[in-house]
Amino acid sequence: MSRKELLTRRGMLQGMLAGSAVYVGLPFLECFLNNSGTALANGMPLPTRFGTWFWGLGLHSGRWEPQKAGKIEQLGPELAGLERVKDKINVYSMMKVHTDGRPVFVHFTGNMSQLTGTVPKTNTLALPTIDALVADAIGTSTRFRSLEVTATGNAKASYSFKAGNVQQTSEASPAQVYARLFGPEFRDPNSATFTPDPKVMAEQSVLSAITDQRLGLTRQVGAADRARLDEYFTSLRQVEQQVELQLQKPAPLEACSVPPPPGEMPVGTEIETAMHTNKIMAGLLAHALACDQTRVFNMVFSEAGSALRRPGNPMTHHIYSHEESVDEQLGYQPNVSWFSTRSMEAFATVIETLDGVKEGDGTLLDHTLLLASTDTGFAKVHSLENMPVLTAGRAGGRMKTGIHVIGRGDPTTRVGLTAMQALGMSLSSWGTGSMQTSKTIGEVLV
Amino acid sequence: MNTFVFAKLAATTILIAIASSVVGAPAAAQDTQSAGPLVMRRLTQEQYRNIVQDVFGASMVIKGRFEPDPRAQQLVAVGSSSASITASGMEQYVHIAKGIAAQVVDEQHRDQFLPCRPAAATAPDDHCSAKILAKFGRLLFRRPLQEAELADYVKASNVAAARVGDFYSGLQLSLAALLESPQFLFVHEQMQNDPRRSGSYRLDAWSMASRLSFFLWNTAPDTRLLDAADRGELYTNDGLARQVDRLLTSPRVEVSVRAFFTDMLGFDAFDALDKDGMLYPNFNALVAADAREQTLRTIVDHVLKQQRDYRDLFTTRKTFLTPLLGSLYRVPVATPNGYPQEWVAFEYPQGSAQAGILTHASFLALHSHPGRSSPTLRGKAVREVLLCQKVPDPPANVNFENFEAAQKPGPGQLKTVRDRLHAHASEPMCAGCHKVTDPIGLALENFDTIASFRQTENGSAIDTSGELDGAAFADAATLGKTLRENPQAPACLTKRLFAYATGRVATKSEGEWLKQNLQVQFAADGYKLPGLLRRIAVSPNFYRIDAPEALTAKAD
Amino acid sequence: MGCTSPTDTSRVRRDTFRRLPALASCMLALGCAAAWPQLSHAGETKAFVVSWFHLAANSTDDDCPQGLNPKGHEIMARILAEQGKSPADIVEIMKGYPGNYPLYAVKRGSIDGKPVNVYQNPTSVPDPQIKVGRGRKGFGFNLDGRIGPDDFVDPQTGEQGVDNQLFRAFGCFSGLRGTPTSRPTWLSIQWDMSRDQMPAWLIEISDVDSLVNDDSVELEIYRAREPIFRNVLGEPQSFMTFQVDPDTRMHHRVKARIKDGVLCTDVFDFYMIADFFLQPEFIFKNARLRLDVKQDGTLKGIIGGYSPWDQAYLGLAAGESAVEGMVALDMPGIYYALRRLADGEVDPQTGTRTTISSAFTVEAIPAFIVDAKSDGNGLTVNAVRQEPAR
Repeated sequence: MSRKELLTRRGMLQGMLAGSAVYVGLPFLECFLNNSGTALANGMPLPTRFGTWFWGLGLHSGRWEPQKAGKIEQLGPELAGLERVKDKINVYSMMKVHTDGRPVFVHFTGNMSQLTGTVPKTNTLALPTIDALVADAIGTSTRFRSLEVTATGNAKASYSFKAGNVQQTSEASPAQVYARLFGPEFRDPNSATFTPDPKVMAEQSVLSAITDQRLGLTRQVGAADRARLDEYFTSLRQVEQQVELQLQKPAPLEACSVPPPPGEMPVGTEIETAMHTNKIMAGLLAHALACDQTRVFNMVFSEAGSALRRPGNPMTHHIYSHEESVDEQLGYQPNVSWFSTRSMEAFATVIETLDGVKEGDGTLLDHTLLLASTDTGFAKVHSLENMPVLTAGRAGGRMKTGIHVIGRGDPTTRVGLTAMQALGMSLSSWGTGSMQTSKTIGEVLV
Repeated sequence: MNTFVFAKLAATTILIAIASSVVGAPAAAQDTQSAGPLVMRRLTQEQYRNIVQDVFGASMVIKGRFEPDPRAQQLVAVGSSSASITASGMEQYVHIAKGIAAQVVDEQHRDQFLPCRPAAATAPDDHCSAKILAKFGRLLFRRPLQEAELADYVKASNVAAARVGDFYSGLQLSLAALLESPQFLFVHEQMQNDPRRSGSYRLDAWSMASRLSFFLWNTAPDTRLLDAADRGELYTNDGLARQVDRLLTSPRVEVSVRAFFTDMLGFDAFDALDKDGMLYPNFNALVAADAREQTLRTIVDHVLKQQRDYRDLFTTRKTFLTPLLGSLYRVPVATPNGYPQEWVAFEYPQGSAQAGILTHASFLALHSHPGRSSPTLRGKAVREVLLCQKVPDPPANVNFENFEAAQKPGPGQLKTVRDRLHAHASEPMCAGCHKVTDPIGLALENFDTIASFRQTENGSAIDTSGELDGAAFADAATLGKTLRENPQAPACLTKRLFAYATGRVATKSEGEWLKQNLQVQFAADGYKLPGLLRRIAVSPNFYRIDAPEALTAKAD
Repeated sequence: MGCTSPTDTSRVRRDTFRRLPALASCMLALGCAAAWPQLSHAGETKAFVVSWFHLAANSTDDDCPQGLNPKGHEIMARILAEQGKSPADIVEIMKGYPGNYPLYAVKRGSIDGKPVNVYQNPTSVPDPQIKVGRGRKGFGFNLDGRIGPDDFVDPQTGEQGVDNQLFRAFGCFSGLRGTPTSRPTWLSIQWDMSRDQMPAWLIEISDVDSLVNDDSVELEIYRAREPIFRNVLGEPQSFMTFQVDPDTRMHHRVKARIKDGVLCTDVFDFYMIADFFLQPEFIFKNARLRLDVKQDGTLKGIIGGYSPWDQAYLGLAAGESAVEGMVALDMPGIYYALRRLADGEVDPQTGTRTTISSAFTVEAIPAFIVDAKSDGNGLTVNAVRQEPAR
């Protein structure tokens, strides 16, 4: 929708309301429907959502992959936590990151190559991550373009980047996530009445005083700053959109309910604390999605390099990954495996949480595509071979689940490409260099 | 801070000023130096808070969260030159701005802040809005508002006031808009033709004022500095020197010195600092806060108040402690009132292992793991933070065979971390970097991950000997002495200070100036910081800009 | 191994208790040095702050052969029955338990036919004859020099004739039972609730040549001006610095010796002002202290002596019906039991015994102690008494 159209609409609103509180039943305007919205037949269209979930330090080869390609019969021991939901996930093995000889920045190249489709040449990123691309496609009409959260207390733990190396900040406190989602600015789709606040309308007009300066300001700065100003104004536009949305009665959403506030809680890298925070955050996100506050989200369970630890034990997950020997009898690193297994249990929690929300004739999980990725294959040597990738959810019916796909040294971008196609984005290839692929994983698409 | 100290500081700096008064017309050599492209700098969280406090007073409550300030080239100050603002960041800025503006216009505060009253409280008032917005706009945008700009904000205020039927609501929203504007959130410097040299460009006076004020006070220019900019005084050597000395002799310079060392020493990492509560129950958030404050207080006292040699920070036994820090370092800390976080000056006895800021918890705990110390992290920090040396990243695909063999229990088992790291150092792939970092960190192994002293590790004695760039040391105290004598240490400080001041690392062409004018003079001054601050603040190099790139007037 | 009991028993049966200043009693009893306080000690000084202090309980499976004392709802039912309520009424009223407990419990006492607060007047009801502990093994010291039928054998030292009647009085209440590894629930809760505001207690051992074997050291106990500070586990933070409270009533000094890592003191009188959540004062007369000096630098042991039993009663009864109901402590029953079991001094006027033998667990962690001197304007710090821990 162009600026001009918006202005007219704003003017219309102003004319109608003239500052007084009146119930206005506005139709759900076309320009706020996304590409995949279906017709307003039986109430509202159920949007498809996309989320990423990240855990650090990979999995042990041979201990997670199902035996055969095709329907998942048996999961490897490190995926034991996903047993209950194995028919709702897909597992992709033998995918890798091809570096084309570029330097490997440990705990960076692996994950960022997967998420941007390009192996970075330096430790800054030139391209946006997959969630930013998806948000551009499906996230433009909601109050939040995307939401970033983390389970171990560090706001800088985020692998969501917009173009120009702009890192999104993660929310580390469940209480703050709640306040942001369900605080005073929240409009309950299911509330009976709606009174647009004249003060909010006033705010709209004031924000335009800033946006009107855009042209003049952009002229005065150099090229590098222009991009940053663009980012600023894009962000401001997002705020403006939030203000606009505050002036409309949102369409009712059956699956939407406001949860009780989670209260303050400790956050940190202790494993049980992280598991708990992960669960609370998943719950909040589920409500946010069901209430259509956002359609794109990013969760970082443990960071690249994983600082997870157990109380009373000086060895963190990361230290174990490098210092623990591969057990001669077992063939793997027992403590590392313990952390990996717990991480996969955390992923299962998120899946089950989304699956627990009834929506339409299915669940929230059915209308979501969740992409789980990590930073290494065999973490001990920072290997980028056999990097585990998983997806969960049926993407609104576009994706089949319960399938194990064996890549043959394919780049992990195959999964990202397939995911974006499942979300209705029209692209036939993704990535650069040896990470470029146009080979959709047909066996998981409907 | 007491005025006597600052009188002393003033006297010292004026002497230096007299000695170096020939800082005048740009030398020909400077014309060949490049300052790189002019970039905006995003306000850091602290700068934002300082400005709000200056303009609206200390009682202003700031409710909301700030996006983390990114780092580049080891400094947040440099990261601010590439930081932009994300959607969630903007959401918070708007939230914070509305909160501040609401307080400014509320009945309790409006008498204090607003220079005029509207004709009617329920209607717009052009004249009064303009007066208020011009006043605050100047302070927040750090320059006078242009007519068109002011008109835009006044109009917005009027429209809002009319909509709501309340002058103050309209004013609140337009004041908030000032705080949400990129003109506030970014330090956007403007250039103009330099009338003294045709074909050249210079920063306009308000941009100079901003640079100076953020450098010495870490905040926006105050009204006196803005007035001096208005009058063109900053273009003259005397005018500039007057303002520099005014800022330098004020107690507020401590704010910026603190901000600089907080940045240089990476103290923002304290936000995410995690120590294992079972192994180290004495370490909690209050202790961490005290540890951070201990080092800042020690540094400020040493370099600013006592005006001592910067290098002595690595050897000084003088510091400040609270009883809570005493429980960390296991020393008795007697205070007048016995409060756990009460500060007193403290001096460790002669021969104590605790000498220099390398033995502070702020350094030792920050560069360690949650459950154990890390010589590699500590050594890396000394190299990168204090000596401006780059340690390469670890390689992928490391061979751990030898190391693993020696971890197994038995007679050959590695007991101390030195033994374990030695195994790293004997593997060629690892040795290159580890021999650069580990010897330094191993000297500090008497201090565990929360800086408590220990004599043994796993029953074995701790060997703290090593060498740094050829100079040998026996323990933490002599490591400090070695660091003190290392010429890279003060050289690094000047580089970092310049980068902090300008938001960028010095260009290659500026290297010679950095060395001769700053580093050599710093040494000649006895490595005293105030002189270095002044030298940068009055130098044309600090304000020099390159000619502008061709700015295409493209519509967006 | 343990501390040998003193042979001098003449001070034990004092008929009047005069709260002499600690200094004076110290001088009388021990003939210790007149000058106070002194800082010049030969040998090292180690300082500690008390982290735990509660009854030294040694509850076993068989020490209450008639079972434990009734639970809260059972107490209430009994009270209702005593008040003449019919069984049907009792069933009905019990539906409101525990919320309505105060209604029936508080004023159940009766003096001259008028209802009175039973906690303030425990003898205004007949003795409910609570069950008391009958175990054979219990912590403490042989205070009276005799081995009597009610005495214990200390499970740690094997000492015979150990006197700890307080433990018997409390021993069959589940909220007050405990073992060396499991603290008495209610008593440890009380201590824990008081720690944040009650000025801490300090122990200083000086003239130490060896912490394993040293036949002559000095032990001092003071009150601090500050409460403890909690670490992340909720325990007191070790190595904090405390200032000595100038109130000399709470300055104690006693000679001691260390044998095989166990420190034993001579006899002394202990007095500490405590806290609202605990009891007003802790008084141990003819006390002795035994502490294990542990490898990790902490202390753990027992203090034993004769304590005024009214203080012990007050410590529990101040909570009135809330504590009585919640912790199932029949307060008048406790009063009567304490009175009955008291084995210490006799008050010449009333002819009743006013003190009861008691043994308490003491645990302490490393700390630093400083003297503070008042110059009229405020406190200035005088001297730090220990070397930094190295």
